[in-house]
Amino acid sequence: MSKVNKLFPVFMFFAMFAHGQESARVIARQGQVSFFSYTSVEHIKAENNQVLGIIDLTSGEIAVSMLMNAFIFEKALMREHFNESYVESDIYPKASFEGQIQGFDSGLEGEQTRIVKGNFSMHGVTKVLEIKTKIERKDQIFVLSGTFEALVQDYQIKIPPLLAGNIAKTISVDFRFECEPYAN
Amino acid sequence: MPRALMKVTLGNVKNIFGARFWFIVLVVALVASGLWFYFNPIEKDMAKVEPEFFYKAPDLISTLTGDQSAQKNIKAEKVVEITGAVKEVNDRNDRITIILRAGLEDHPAVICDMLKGERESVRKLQMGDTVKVKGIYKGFLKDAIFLNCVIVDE
Repeated sequence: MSKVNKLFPVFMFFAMFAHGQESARVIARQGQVSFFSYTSVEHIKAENNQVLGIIDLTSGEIAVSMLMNAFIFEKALMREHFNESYVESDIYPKASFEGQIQGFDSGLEGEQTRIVKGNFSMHGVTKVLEIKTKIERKDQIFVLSGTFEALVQDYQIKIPPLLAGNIAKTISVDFRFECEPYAN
Repeated sequence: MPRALMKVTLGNVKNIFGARFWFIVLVVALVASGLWFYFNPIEKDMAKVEPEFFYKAPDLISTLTGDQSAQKNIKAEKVVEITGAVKEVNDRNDRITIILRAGLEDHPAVICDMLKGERESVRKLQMGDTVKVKGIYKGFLKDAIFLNCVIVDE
């Protein structure tokens, strides 16, 4: 048996292993995160459509990152206030979440609902969140979606007394990530 | 008091009242329009905005991922014109998005979130077409992200 033939199974093992590692992650680079603030004075809605999400299908680890200045508002003034006064996006440009999908079975075709637990960091503050998440798998595509609520005061966001009536104390956050195999 | 003088005086009073009235109207109108523009600032017309930077997509990514001194000028909110090959066009999240290829790999690339009025121009694009896009740079995650993008007509 030639040397090449002897090494072939070894090469195949590493090639399969490497391929397995590569396809074990999925990515969404156009994930959507929206938030809503409902008060009797004003309804504010904003959405960010370029949120990055990466999931390790083997370990169930999930990482999310978003640019705070990429939220789109109905009115330009709302966006200005949000970026300049509330989240100070020039000082804290990103928000991130790192966590674990608990009991995640990446091989399960169809729908499963899981708790995602991890650290959410925004405006220089990190909080532990547990988020009920619907996970739908169709072939190689994983769609994660859900809703959670965040208290404005938890993230040291100061609202001027004059505008306190315009901003809800609890903000509702929706998310949707359509993840596809991570090629790089 | 003579009758003629009386008339003149009344006329003056009417004129003074009229001038004051219109002055007050003018001030109220100015304050109201000032407040309206303050609370409803007009978005820049991206088609008319002159870009501060001009890049080919691969060069833009090299700059953003490379030397800190080279990337310090391209800060968030700057208007940049990017020339690149269309890798993907999609309508995910009900948005119109063009992704420009910046190299052989899938990432990093340039994500351009287009303005709604660009739908017809985007519809004509084919994969691999070279296109010039102008938009507001927002930052870099795995890819460079631009919002309020328009296609630049040659």
